[in-house]
Amino acid sequence: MPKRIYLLRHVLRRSRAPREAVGLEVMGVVPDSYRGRVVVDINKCTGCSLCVRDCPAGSLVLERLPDGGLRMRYDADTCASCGQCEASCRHGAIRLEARYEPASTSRDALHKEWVREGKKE
Amino acid sequence: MTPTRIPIGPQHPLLKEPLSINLSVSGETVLGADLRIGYVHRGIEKLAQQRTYIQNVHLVERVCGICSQAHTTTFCLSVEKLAGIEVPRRAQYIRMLLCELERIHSHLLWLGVLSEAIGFTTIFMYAWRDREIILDLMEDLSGGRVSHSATSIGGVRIDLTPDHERYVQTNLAEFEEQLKLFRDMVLHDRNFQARTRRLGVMGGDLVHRLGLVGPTARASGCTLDIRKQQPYLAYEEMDFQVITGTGGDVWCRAHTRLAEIDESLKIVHQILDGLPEGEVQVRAPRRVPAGEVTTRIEAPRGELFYYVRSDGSDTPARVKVRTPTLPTLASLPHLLSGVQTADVAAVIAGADLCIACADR
Amino acid sequence: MTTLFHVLVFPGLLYVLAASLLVHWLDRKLVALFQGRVGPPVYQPLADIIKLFAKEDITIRGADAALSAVLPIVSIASVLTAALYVPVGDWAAADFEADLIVVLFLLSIPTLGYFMAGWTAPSFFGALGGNRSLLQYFSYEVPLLLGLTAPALLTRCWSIMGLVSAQAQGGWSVFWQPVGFMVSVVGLIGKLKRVPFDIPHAKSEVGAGPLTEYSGRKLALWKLTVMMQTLVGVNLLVAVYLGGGAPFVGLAGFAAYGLKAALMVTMLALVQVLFARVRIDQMAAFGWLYLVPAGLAQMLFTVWMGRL
Repeated sequence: MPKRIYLLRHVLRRSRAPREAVGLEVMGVVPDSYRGRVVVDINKCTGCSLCVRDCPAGSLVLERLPDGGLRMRYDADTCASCGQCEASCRHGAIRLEARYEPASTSRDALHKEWVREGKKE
Repeated sequence: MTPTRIPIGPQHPLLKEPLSINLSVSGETVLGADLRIGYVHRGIEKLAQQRTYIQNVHLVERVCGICSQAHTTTFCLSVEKLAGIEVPRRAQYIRMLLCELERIHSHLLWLGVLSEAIGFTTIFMYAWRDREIILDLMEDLSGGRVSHSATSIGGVRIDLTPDHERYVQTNLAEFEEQLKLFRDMVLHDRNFQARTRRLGVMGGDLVHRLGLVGPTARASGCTLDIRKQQPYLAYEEMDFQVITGTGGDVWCRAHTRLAEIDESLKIVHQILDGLPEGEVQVRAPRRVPAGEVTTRIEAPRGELFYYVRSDGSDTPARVKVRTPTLPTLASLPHLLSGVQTADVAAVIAGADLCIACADR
Repeated sequence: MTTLFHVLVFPGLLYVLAASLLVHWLDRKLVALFQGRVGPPVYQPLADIIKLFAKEDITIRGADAALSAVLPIVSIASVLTAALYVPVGDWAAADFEADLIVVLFLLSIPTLGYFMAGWTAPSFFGALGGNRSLLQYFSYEVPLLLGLTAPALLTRCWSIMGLVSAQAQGGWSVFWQPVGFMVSVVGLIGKLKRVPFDIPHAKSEVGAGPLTEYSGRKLALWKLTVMMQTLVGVNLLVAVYLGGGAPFVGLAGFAAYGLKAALMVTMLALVQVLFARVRIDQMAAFGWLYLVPAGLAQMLFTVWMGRL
């Protein structure tokens, strides 16, 4: 039937297009600009807490240790990978890496911590 | 014959989001519909009052998945008006690019949903596969497929390198090639037309009475397009047409949306060709001066309206959102009365509802 | 001579089971490839059935438990019985004169069972799907019957095995009666409730239709019934119109039949990909205004030709 010919042409053309079903190991491949999990370089951190204030989900907690060090706690569970922390930080201490890790088998694995020791007198 | 009640929703294979439509049916004809919304209400406006402006940019992005760029842009435009910030032109162009790309993939999503509702699974698969070209583009530009985190108060957080521009041009060329199928389908497919013509007809008087907006209203003859009426970002520098249709049935809406995809592609090419140099972001104050402002932009579904009132602190005093789907929902009982039960699926899917937007 | 082996293994029970799973997989794979997807692996239908057997079988309150249990069993039993008489290649598990009519009758039992399944549970989806499937049954059974009996009129042979041998000598019926072939194919699509006639179980309108409230083993039996109906329908079309295993015999004939059956499945898959669902009134109109007159015309033409 002539009205179907247009669709048949498209179907045949598209059937020949390459397609792939990728396995889980390939699924982790994302472009470099992908916003994934947060990574903190605690040595660059000055403790200004702008990232903590600006995080919409409240995933970051920064505390000053009694010995003068810093501890940054990050909860990947509530993080929305919006990248606001990276944009707010003026020292380049916190950034998002292009890693794709949607799930974890334990809640503890989703809590990350970075500690910098204070200078001892 | 006494009327029967047919419940559609809140959970129904037809609906993408929870919505309750109770049809009262006599035989095979629908007599009326009873609508209940609010199943996805998350209290966005209340939450916005408890968060800073910077946090709110990300909050409003998550009001809706496929209108995310529209919400962020409107909110940022409102805050910039209050704070008196002049956003660099390059940033405006990049914001326009993201908005138009979002419009394109939203229309294609709708076409797939309509086809699935009338049983044309092939078109659904193809439309959503072609959407992936646009979504991959978004991911490469901004790091996320649906929530882009690209717009911020004072500009955009992403920038386009020449590599990016080449990548966009190649992908768009491929995308335009794939679009031919949908144009052919809407114009020539007798099966599709038999299921969508003369269905859910919306007259001009209903449009005015209920305040309908967007491609749905434009398919019934309305000429309102905020991009032309009250240009925002840099739309006054763009050359494009407002697509209107006469007919107001589901088929006309499909035709209108497809033509709008073409116009959006025209705009995207103009953006890429004429991208001005400069910075993409200016520093924005955390405390926004007191005042109130309204902003409206053309989201994929129509006019999106924001009212923001500031009391001088770093959290807004009031954020009011009116989304374009709200009047469309109000029009559903009118559209549904008199249709056959077999056509209910096509009417509801053809109305392009975004319940997450409507419920906030 | 029909032995227990023929009935239970080949071309009976076990073969029908394996072949229907294979045909179902081929259909799904082809539809997926046409739509630009990858499609399921070959063991998918078997995995689906095994999974369903392992699931909990819930009978909802207010449903007629006895009837809802009996219906899938009766349906699958009738399809299996019909399958015994439909030849694959040159071999049929059993045959007798006029078994064509008996097979057509047996194949209509599952359709009635499907409709009644929608009525056993107090579910709105089931009732609406059941109503629609009954209307579809009325609209498509008649053309299918007209289409499939036309070759019998042509060859004056009312047993399916007899039709196969008659075609080996006189040429395939599809060449003598192309209109009847088209009517049978469309009627089969309507009977199998495939697109564009999948209204009774249109997901966006009535969920799963009459089978919405089924789960577990009973649902597995229903799914098997549908798969076997597809196989037997395709087999019947190949035997009655495409000459069964002709022009070869024996093992080569079986291979030829396999090829023809695969071609039929490809045609069905292509139709599924190219069309949208039609509305119930459009479907009934099409059945009675186009198919039935075409089928009648074919029969009358055959009778008139036979008079000459």
